[in-house]
Parts: sequence; C-alpha cells; structure tokens
Amino acid sequence: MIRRDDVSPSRKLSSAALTLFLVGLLTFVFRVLAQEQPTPSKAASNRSAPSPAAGASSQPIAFSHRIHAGTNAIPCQLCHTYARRGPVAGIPSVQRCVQCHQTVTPEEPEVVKLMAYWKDKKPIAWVRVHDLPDFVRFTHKPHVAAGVACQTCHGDVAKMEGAVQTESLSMGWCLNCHKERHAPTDCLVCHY
Amino acid sequence: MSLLDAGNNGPLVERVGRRTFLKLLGAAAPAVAASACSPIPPERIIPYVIPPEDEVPGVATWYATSCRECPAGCGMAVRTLDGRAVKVEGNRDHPVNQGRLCIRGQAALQGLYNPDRIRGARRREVMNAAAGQSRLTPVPWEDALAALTDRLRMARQDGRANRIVIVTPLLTASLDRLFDAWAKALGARRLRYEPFAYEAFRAASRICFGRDGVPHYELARADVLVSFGADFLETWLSTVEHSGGFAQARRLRDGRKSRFIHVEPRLSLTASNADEWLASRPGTEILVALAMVHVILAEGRSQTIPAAEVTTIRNLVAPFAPDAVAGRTGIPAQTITNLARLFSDPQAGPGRSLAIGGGVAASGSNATGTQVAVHLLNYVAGNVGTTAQFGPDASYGRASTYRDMADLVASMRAGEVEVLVTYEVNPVFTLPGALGFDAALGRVPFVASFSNALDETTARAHLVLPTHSPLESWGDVEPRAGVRGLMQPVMEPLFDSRHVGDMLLDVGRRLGGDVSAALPSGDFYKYLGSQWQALHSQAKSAASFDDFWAEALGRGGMWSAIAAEKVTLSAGIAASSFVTAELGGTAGAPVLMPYPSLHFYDGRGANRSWLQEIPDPVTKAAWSSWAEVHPDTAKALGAKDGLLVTVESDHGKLDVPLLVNAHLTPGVVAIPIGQGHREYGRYAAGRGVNPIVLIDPAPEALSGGARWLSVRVRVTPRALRRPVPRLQASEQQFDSGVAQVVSLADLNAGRLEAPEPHRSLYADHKHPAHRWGMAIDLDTCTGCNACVAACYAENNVPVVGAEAMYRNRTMAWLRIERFVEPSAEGSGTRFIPMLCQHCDHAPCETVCPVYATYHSDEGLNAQVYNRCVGTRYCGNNCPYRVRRFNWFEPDFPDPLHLQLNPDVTARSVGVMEKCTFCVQRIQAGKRQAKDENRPVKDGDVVPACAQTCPGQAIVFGDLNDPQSRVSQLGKEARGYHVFGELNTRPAIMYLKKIVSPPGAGTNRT
Amino acid sequence: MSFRRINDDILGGLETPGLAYFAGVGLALAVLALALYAFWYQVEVGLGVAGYQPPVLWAVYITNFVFWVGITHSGTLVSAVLYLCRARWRTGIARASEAMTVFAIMTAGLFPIIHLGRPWFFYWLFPYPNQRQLWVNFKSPLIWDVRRSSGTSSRSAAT
Repeated sequence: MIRRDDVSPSRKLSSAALTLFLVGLLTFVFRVLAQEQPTPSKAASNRSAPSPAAGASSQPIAFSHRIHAGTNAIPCQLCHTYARRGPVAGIPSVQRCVQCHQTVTPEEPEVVKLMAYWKDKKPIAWVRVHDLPDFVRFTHKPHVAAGVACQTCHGDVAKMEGAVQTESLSMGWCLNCHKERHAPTDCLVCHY
Repeated sequence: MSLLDAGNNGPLVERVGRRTFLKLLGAAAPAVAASACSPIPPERIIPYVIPPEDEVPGVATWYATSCRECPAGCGMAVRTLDGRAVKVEGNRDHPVNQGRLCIRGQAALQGLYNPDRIRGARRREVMNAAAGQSRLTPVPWEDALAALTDRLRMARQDGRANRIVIVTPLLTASLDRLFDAWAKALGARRLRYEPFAYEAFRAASRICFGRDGVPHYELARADVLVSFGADFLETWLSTVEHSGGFAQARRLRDGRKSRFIHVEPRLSLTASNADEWLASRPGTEILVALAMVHVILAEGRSQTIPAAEVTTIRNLVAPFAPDAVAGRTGIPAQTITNLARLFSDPQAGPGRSLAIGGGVAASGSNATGTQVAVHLLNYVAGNVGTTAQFGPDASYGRASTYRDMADLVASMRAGEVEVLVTYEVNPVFTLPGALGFDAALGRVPFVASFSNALDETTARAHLVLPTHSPLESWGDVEPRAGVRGLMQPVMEPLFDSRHVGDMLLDVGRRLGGDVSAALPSGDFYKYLGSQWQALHSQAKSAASFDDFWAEALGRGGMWSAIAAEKVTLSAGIAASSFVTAELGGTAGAPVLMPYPSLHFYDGRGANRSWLQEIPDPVTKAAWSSWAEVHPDTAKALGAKDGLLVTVESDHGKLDVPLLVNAHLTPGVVAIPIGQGHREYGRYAAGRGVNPIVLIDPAPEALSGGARWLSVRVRVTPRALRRPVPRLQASEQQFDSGVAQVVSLADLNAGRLEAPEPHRSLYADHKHPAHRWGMAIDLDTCTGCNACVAACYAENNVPVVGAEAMYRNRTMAWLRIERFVEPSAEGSGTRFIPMLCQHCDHAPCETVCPVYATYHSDEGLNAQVYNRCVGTRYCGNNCPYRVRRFNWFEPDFPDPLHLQLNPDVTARSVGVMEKCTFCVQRIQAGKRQAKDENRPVKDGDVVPACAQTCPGQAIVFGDLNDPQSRVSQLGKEARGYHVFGELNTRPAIMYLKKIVSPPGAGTNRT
Repeated sequence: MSFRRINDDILGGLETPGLAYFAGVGLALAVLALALYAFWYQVEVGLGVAGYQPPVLWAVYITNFVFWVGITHSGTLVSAVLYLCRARWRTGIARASEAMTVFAIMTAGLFPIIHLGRPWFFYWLFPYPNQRQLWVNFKSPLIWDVRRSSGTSSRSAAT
C-alpha cells in the first residue's frame, strides 16, 4: 500500500497545484458565466495602486486639479457644490467652468475645447474616477457635515494632474474609519 | 514501453511526462484566470450644462398637480428626482382627497411611462385598399396638423353645421371651455362622454327637485349609511373622498359606531365593508328604498318636511309596504322595517343618515326610479342639505348622456358626420357592441384622435396626434363646485407629444378667418393664465397676480366652501311610477351583472401592469376576466371553478372562465368590466373579456343612461379549463386567527382576550435610539389595494406576469388577504394587510447563512440584497410568508425603468426581498432631523403604504416615543399580533375589526 | 474460475477497451453535457426555471442533497460496522462503500451550490477572513451543512 511519506515532493506539489487550479477554475467559471466583473472598488481592494483607466489622458478635457486646487487654491466645494447639500458631490457644470474661463486663459487648447462644449450646449462626459457599486448608498452630506476632509477619501487631489483613485474605497476601508469615529456600522445605513 | 515513460527520447508529448504536465497546469491556471478578466469599460459621469436653480441632484422636488385617472379630480403631489417623476402621492391640502390616493392614482405613473404610448404623430397609410389593409405610420407634426386643418376646412366649406363632431371625456374648467370655444368656432357638435355618467342621478334630481345635478355627499357625517348598489369604495363618484369620509364615520366614539348597510346582489368590495349586506334580487333595490320610505312615513318618522309633501309621498309609496315587496326583493320584511326605523329616528334628529344609490345594481331600466326612491329616502329623513347637499354639485352634471352617444352613432351611420375628433375616449370598447359604434365609425370619412394610447378607437383613426400625459400637462380640474385644482407638468415630455390645448389653438390659427378670431391667441398656458386672472379678480386678492398664481400652484389649486342650497320637492314627483328592472332574454335565466372594476374603472387602466398584477380585492384574481356564479348555479350547469363557459345574450357572446362565488344572489352572473381589449398595449391586448358586448344598447327611458343591468344570459359550459391566477386559494382562515374581530358589545364590556405572555430564552434586543413599529386598524382597512400599489411604486417591486402568478411568484411586498367568516354578525369579510412583521424574534434572521438578514438596532428586520446568496432558508422560516424571491431577472420595459426610485436598490435575480418599512424614508427622515438639529418627531417618517391609505388604517412611528400615535394605538385593547402564539413578537400591532350584529341600534341614539 | 480467467479479468484493464465501453462513456458524457448545459441555463436565466412554487422554497435540490448525504453516511456506516466486527473479508466491500461515500459527498456538496439563487457567491458560505470584516452566521443550520459537507469530503479524501 502506498503511504503518504512515499509520495515524492514534486508529486505533492503537483497535487496541490491541481487542487488550487480546480478551485480557481470553479470560481472563475461562475464569475464569467454570470458576467460578474470585479468593480473598480473590488479590483482595488487588494492593492493601493490607482486604477489605470482614470488617468488624465482618458478624460475628454485634460483638466488639471494641480492647477486649480493646488496652484490657485480653489476650495473643493466651489466646484463640487452639492457635497454638503446632498448625496452626490457633483461635477461642476459647463457653466461653472465657463464663468471663469471666458476670461481666464481662453487661449489654452483645453479651454478652447471647453468653450466648444459651451457653444454647442453639450455636457462633458467625464470618465468617472470614484465609483461605488450600485448597492452602496453612499451620501456625501453627513460626511462633509461631520468634518471629514475631502482628501481623506479622494487623496491629495491638489497634487494630481488628472484625478485618480488613491484609496481603496473598499467596505473594510470604510468600516475602519467608521469604527474609529464611532459612526454607525449598521448594514442598513449603507445597504438598503 | 508505456506512453508515460518516454524519458528524453520520445516525441515531445512523451518527453514532457505526466508530472511535468500537472506542474504546468497548476502554473497556467492563475494566468488564464487573470487574462479572462477583461478591463471594465469606464462609467461616465455627466454634469449639467446649466444646472437648474434650487435643485440638488439626489434631493427630490415635489410638484402639486391633479390626478386625471378618473373624473374625481383628486389633488396629487408628485415626487421628482433629477427631472423624473418617481412617486405620486395625494396633495394634503386638497379638499377632495386630503393627501390620499387610490390604486388608480398610484398607477398614474404607469400611464406616463407606459411602454405602449404613441411616441409621435401618426397617419393612416393604405397598403391594400381592396384587402382593407392599412396601418398607422409616423408622420412629422407639421404634416399631421396640416392634414387635420385641411379636413376641418373641407368639412366646413358648405357651411353646414355639425358635420364635425368632437368627443372628449368629462372635462372641466379651462380645457373644457377651450374645447367648447373651439367647437363653437368650427360649428361642431361636442360631446362629453363618460361611460359612467350618472345620468339616472341627474334625471332623478330633475324629477325630485327640479335641478339637474349630482349632489355632494358627506359620508363622514352619516351615522347610518345605506347604499343601494353604490360602490363608493371602488368607482362611484369620488372614491378617495368617500373612502376617507366613510372611515371617519366608522370610528368608534364613546363606545358607539356608525352603521353601514349595503343592498346589492353581489358582495362587492363596498358590500364587504358593510355591517350588513342585503343580497337583493337584481333590479329590485328600488323596492327596498320605497318600502323604507313607506315605513318612515307610516310610522311618523319623517323629519323636517311639510305635511303636504308627506301626503304626496305617502300616496306615491302606498303600494310598497315591506310585506308587499319582501317576496320580490328576496329581503325579509322585518329587515326592511328595522332598517327604515334605524334610518330615520326623530329622536336622533334629521341629517344623521344617508342613502346613496348607484353602481350596476341601480342601472337597469328603472335606474331613474331607483335614484328617485333614494332621493325621497334622503328627503324624508331630513338629509338633504346636510349629508346630501345640492350646491357643491359634482361636475358630472355636465356630462353627455349615453343617449347622446346613441344619437351620434345614428348620425354616423347615416353619413352625417364628416370628421370625428376624439380625445381620450374609447367608445369602441366602452359602448355596447350592439349599438354599432364600430361599424358606424367605418362610415366616417375622417377620424382624428388626440389620444396617446393605441386603444381600440385610436387604432381606427386616420390621424393620431398624441397628447401629453396628464403629468406632463398644464391645466385645471373642477371636480365639484368650489374646488379648482391646478395641473402642472412635473417633467419634460418624454416623447414627441403635444398639449391638446396647444394643438386646438394651433389648428384654429391655421384655419384662419372667423375661427381664428373666435379663439384666444397664444398657447394653452397663456389661456390658462387668463382664466386664472379672472379668478384672481373674483377672489379680490390683495396679492399681485404673479404671487397669487405662484401660491395657487404651490398649493395645488384654489378652493372655497360652497354652501348647501335649499331644495324643495318638485310637484312633478307625483307622476312618478316605480317598477323593477326589465331584463331581456329568457325568463328564469341568470341575470348578467357587469360591474366596473376598482382597478380598471371602465377599462382605461388595463394596460398598467401594476393594475393587472395586483389582485382584484374581492376575488383575489389577477391578469384575467372571470364570471362569478353562485354555487347552485354552477351545480345546475354541472360546472366547476376554472371551467370555460360561453356566456351569450341576445346581443353578443363571449367565453370566460367560471369562478364560483357563494356571496352572490343565486341566478346572477357577474363579470368585471375592464378587460377584453383587442388593442391598447402589451398588458391589455388579448386578455380577458369585455362584458359590455353583451348588454342591451337601448338607453334607459327617463335618463338616457346606459342600461348595464339589462339582459339575462345563457351560460353553456365548454370542455376547456382556463383557471384564473389567484393570490389566495381559499377565503377561509381555518382557525388560524390571522384576521380577528371583536364584537362591539365585548369591546365595550372589556371582554377581550389578554395578550399572550412573553417567554424567551434569549435576551431581548436593545433599541437605544428608535424602535420603529406600525399599527394597522382592521376596522378601517377597506381592502382597496391602494397601499399595495404605493409599495410597488416606492420600492421598485417588479411585475412578474400571469404565468408566474399561477406559480404564486408574485413579488408584492404587501398583500391584502381577504377572509370571509359568515356568522350571526353579518357577511363577515375581513381584510388584513400582510407585510413583513419585523419580528423582534424573527425566525428568518437566525437561519440566513451569510447574515444577509439581521435585526437592526432600530427594530427593523433588515435585508441586505448584496449579501444574499439566495438559499431561501429565511423564506421557509417565515410564518407569515412575506418574503419574496427573485426567480428571474426583473424586467422593467422601457420607459417603465424611468419610474424606478433611485433611493431603493433595484434587486437582481437570485436575491430575497421583502418589506423594509420604507427604510429609505426612515433614513431620509433621520437625516433631515439631524440637519435641522432636532430629534425625529412623530410624522417625520411615513412609509408609502401608510401615506396613501384613504382610510388612514396604517400608522407608523417610533415605539420608543410614548407620545407617538403608534404607541397610543399599540396600547388599545383591540390590539393583537398575528400568530402571536409563535412568539415572534412582531413590530406590527393589528387592531381587531369591530363587528356588531344585524339589527343593532346605532350608536348615537 | 480458472487462473486464466482471473488473468484475463485483471489484465483486461490494461488493454484498449471495446466499442461497448466507448459507447457507454459517450452516453455518460452526453448526459453530463446536458446536465452542465442545464445548470448553465439555470445560472444564466435564474432559479425560476427549476419550477419552484412559493410558499415552497426548497424542493428537489435540497431533497436530493439530503439523499446524497444519506448515501454518504451509509457508506461510512458500512465501513465502520465492518471494521468494528473485524470481518476478514471486508476489504473489497469497505473499498466500494468508501468510494461510494467519497463520490456521494462530492455529489451532495454540489447541491448547496446548485440550489443557490446566486451560486457565483457560493464561497461566501465559507468563513474566510476578508476585508469586509464579515463572517458567516454560525447559528444557521445551513452553515452546519456546509461545514459538514466540506469536513466530510476532506476527511474522506484524506483516508
């Protein structure tokens, strides 16, 4: 009869590899079958590197936060006006941008692109950088009211050219901060 | 040598060897898995170009408007989010509905977002004239309006009037005036066609009191309410208003309750809520009313009327003593006598009772006579001027009669009509088939329809000019004198439609000349403004018009109290003759009773999926038609439930499944009106039958109204079974004690069962902040289904369709269960809204393997959809069976998906869902209070079901707050928990329905 | 039973099988393919295709699960009883019954996955440390099932 210690190490390794492969295959098969794609937050949950899709080059206009929020020290809520008033912070409307840029640096190529949108009254379809799955009901207002700085979740935007996601925005990451600050951790607060 | 041991000399596959192969496989797996995950396409975030003022994305904006789902004209408050209407509620300030809406009102959103709406102008294109093939093809608006203008011009050319006919529903206020002006300018005939136009009412008012009008009824003030067929909880006159008034009248006061007796051959929803249901023979209700008058006068119980009139009326009702009529009505003489004594009690004083008549029971050949009898009954009891008021008359007084439509058909058939213009009417469906409207329509050279739904009439039109839905329109509505509700668009029009008023003015301008001169300039909005300028002057308001207008828009309209006018009995009353209804067909054959449906009204709601899916309140059947017969009738036919039968009258024939209903006078076949559409859309077309095809087309002689109760039918069983999907298989409780009652006597004497003691092995949950709970008063719940529709709208509950309903897979979070326990205390119908009880000791919470359901610290049984893996153990453990599982991916066909509430997660296939106590509203209420730096107060959080209930049967609030209404109600002696013996400790306290035996005196005497 | 016969029976396993064998394998694979397609269809379209009729929310899948778990237990029981009785002729039978146990628990273990509404999240039924700081509900009998199934299979595989 063959006994466990008779089996060569490479054989054991192969068995382990096969088991892992089968489990991985099963998981993978289910996720593909059900068209389950990892969302940006799930993909980012295991790494802290920013997601590559959101670099400045992929946005319709190469808006630079460094120039606006950094050099010119424009406060976040001047443009992202709804943050303290509702669930979404909002991206500034074309009108908001034009209010300054009809006179400020109108000759810049990116500003020229902006004015083309304004002339045609077309909205700018920005690529979303911070996105949570639809079953998460995140609302900005109580966080802003509680004094959570924008940089806590969005990173040091004033130093970024194009906005990128620097924090994982995973559930565990949110939970840690909620536990530290004694904010509610009831499931129903965010998932309903 | 074995294949597997090739060593280094064999072909590659042999050299690799088994072990190496396995190693490679193990390494390759993660690489394969990683590469299979394709990059996610980026989501876009799109801001405004110019943001609207005062609107914050994600925060709702509310608009006040009016409901147009039936002529009752309730006020509506519409919740819009990001430019889309997502929920409608009643307007709290509106005097008609006072903040509540019925099921039809809640489903108004499905009219706005109906997937079968006509999305642009259409013109008929003939493909093959010989074969009669043609179809409606899209056409630019310019062409469509030009086409209409040309035809109208042609029809006016020879100067003959009335070549053009305009048929609208009963419109009021500005749009009505504009249509009148337009018709007059064109020299056209105009009809205001309503299938339920209460002609008999008006004729009776003319005969009795010399005035043409439908009075205003105050049910809240009636201690004794007797209804002769009037289904005021379903479709009669003003459903929400009367449901509310009824609920108010029924409240226990000083140990006494009002009394409601309903006389009708069928246990309708309204009859189910009566203390006593008297099952009359069809068409004989008139005799009951007359006998009551007889008794009142014979025993000297008349109140406030002069002696001369007493004599007149006494002579009139002399032949109708209770003994004389008992045999013909099927109601014992003593019952009638007792009822009369109850109805008019000089010691209690005048104006304490109310008699109402209507519905199908009072719509035979003696309809006017029946209403005259009802008017007389009110008159002798001194109710006219108090509970029945002339003065604030309902606008029904201005509707055309059925006879007017019959005359129109004759005109059309004679070729006298050159252009027929229709707006939101469907006479091909709602007129009796034997009248021949369909065929006569073929003789009209040009038919134009301003409708936005492809119903049977519009499908025959040569030109379709789709209008805005009411939620996209400006306008005003005057349901009764003194109430002028406003309508405003709550969002941009979804499709390429136009406002009908704008189109009238546009066409008028194009016609030029005298037509254009006779019409106001500008668009309909300007015209509306001018009408309200006049109101502003009349009101002598100190504010400027702009302020007045803004305030009226915010409030939802303008209302003033109209005093009741004094009426006197007309001399012509003496000439009245009273008979029972004449019925065509073979004597002794069953009588057909087609009854209007709470959900579909006259059929106009049939293409709304909520209205199809939510079960009929009495039969609990959905998605179909049925013919209700008494068990004796079924036995005589040799037929059972679900058997297809052919129902045939002298005028038409149809096939419909049978439903055996013990709560019906034997010898009656009752079929609901509203289904049986040939067109109209995906939910309505080809579904069920339309009983209107069976009735006699001849109008009632005195009033010109349609005779819904006019034929006897032959019922022939077929060999096919077509069972009807039903929510409940049985109306019996089998001693389960789900819906409980308490008698008035026991309640007053304090003889109530003590609540079950609480035993528990586990420590109780702690609720430090709030503890949400609900109290549902079964005495007030009428079973009307409004709460169910509100829940569907608020919580994105999907519709599953008829096939799934056969398998009990309905997704309704809230259902109304109906049980019937006939006893000495009357018909014994009990309605009980059943929803998640949010048990403190929930059987479902312990068994979920992944903690998708758990008990929150505010007393809610939470369901976290994204955590649910779909084991369905929780659903098995729930004793109330309120957990609903998503068996398939929910389907919201475009544009119904626009109605979805963004504050509630839309669930996908494979997850469990159930009532959440509208947790999104709880969160919103708490956040609002936090923003305003104050504690949450009672009334801040109102779930959708509680908000809309016309009877205010559902009360929600914080049980931790001893002052909250729900805490107070929870302490009532009538309170009990369903299945309390299971020790689930629900958060919902039900209050037992109060019953009192027949013949009991009421209350206030 | 001659030695030649025994020789043929044992060595027969080393030779290339005949048509009948391949036909049998083909049939079995066809049935397997059908079953895999059926399962894929169920995952794609939803559990509604399994014909459940509320208020009954567990039907054949769970019944089948219990059946196969029963088979598992029976295999263990047979093997245990034979061992306790020290029956000398137990080896062949014990081998068969333990093989039956192993395959039966693998079959049984499939059913909690097949009956799930969202089977692609089946791994949430296992208590593994995760960033969401969530564990499973150990009070739930279904977790006991999962523990029992995975435990039995790993234990059986080890023997």
